[in-house]
Amino acid sequence: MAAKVTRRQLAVLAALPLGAAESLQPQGQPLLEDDLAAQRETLRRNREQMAKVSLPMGVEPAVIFKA
Amino acid sequence: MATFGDDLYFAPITELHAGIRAKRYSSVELTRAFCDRLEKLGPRFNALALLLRDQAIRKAHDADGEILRGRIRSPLQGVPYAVKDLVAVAGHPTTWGARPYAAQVFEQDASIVKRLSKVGAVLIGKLAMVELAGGGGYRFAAASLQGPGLNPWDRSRWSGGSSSGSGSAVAAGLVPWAIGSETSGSILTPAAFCGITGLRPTYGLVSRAGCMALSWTLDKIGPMARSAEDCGHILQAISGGDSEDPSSANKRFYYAPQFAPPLKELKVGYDPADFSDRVVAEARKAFAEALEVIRQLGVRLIEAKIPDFPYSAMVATIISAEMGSIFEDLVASGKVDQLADKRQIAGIKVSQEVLAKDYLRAMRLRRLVQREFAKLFFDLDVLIAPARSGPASKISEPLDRLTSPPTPLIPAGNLAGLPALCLPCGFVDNLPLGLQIVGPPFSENKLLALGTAFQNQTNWHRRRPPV
Repeated sequence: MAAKVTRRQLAVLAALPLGAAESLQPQGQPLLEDDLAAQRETLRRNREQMAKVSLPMGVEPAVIFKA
Repeated sequence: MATFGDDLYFAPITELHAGIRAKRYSSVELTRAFCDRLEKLGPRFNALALLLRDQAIRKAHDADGEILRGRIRSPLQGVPYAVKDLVAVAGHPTTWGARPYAAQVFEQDASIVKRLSKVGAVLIGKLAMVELAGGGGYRFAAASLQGPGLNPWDRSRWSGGSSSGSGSAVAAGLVPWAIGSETSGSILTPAAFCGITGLRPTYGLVSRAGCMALSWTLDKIGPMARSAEDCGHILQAISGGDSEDPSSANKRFYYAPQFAPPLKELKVGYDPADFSDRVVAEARKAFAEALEVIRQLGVRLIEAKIPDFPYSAMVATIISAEMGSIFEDLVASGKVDQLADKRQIAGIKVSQEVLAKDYLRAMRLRRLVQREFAKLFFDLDVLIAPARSGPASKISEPLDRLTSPPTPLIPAGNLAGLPALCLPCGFVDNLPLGLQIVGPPFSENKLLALGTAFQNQTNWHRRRPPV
């Protein structure tokens, strides 16, 4: 790692912006547990939606993806 | 010492470069002026991550010297620009918009920064972004180290994400152009919300070496600027093969508007429902008028429908699986909890649980998507659709209940690796709306030709927000 960044720059980056972000975060956000449940539910819904499409065995994944 | 008025802050790249060559001002003067403006007004929109004034002035001196000696490299030479803060700039913090990476410093410039340096472009700063490009599925616009991206047209509205700073900085005339990135909508959305022109290149056309990875098979880097023509010049400079990027298509793009096919030969597909039922009621008139402008250009407008796939589910599964691997250490270390948005934290944690069979199913479906789009483009040159279904959402609006959701062509185009150009195409309640033009892989010149023709007939891209 290069060390060209000043301590003042780092202090500004590490301290001020978090405050800015937190102060603008809307109140009344759900608890993390609720968010974890919501994200798991999204995974489940996505799985369900993808399962509705017929997929022949010969269709291989686009693992090496080239447009 | 030249004095700069608003006209210059909103001038296209070619005009700025011509001004340097004509000695109306030097690159150093231009760079100082944009640095001052970015420093003063950037925080007003939470757009500025880091100003790079000293190195920019040095680079501008070099550009002035070369131009004086008649060594002309590109229309970008001597012209300032800025990058989204996921692009590495050697020796300076590259935060990825996220607190756990606030002190991260790389030793090497990203490949695109090196390329732009070679053509003499002047990097003046790094721009704010949604933390980790929003891959965890953030719930609020405030999910960023700099706070929510504020829209220059109305600061109570979002600038869009994840290239939020790039969108608002270009729209407010703080930089002539910027670099953004798109995994699924992160160039097109801020371009549409902020009323600027954004180009998502074909997957593999622009190197991502030195840029944060969110999804290896979806990430693209592209220009955000004032016009289609500006995007063409930028893409020419940043495209090309790179051994440092395994996804590189090893192709170069040459901006060639002089060889664009006649518009009357262009077959343009559109779905009428995209311009009526699928957009918010108050925006329908503006989108219908934009469609009429396209028709008046003399192109062959053909009704078409994109193939029916669960695009959003597929793209979410792919991002989640790849991001889960990329940010495995962030989760294991517990530092993921330092992120600003709880939904995003949860999304990244849950990404560790994506099943291999789900990821593979999404990637197999993706192959079908590519095939179906290839068939569609057998009969069409390009597709057009609104980029978002309405104008910028309110800052406080939860992003999982948006009033202006993206249209399906955004995830579809990203899954198929297709290029897209987003153009300002009208206003509603004094907020810009965006139109997207999507084509087959490596058809950027066609998109730019249609985009330039549209912008020659309209003045939406010349409108300026009340900064």
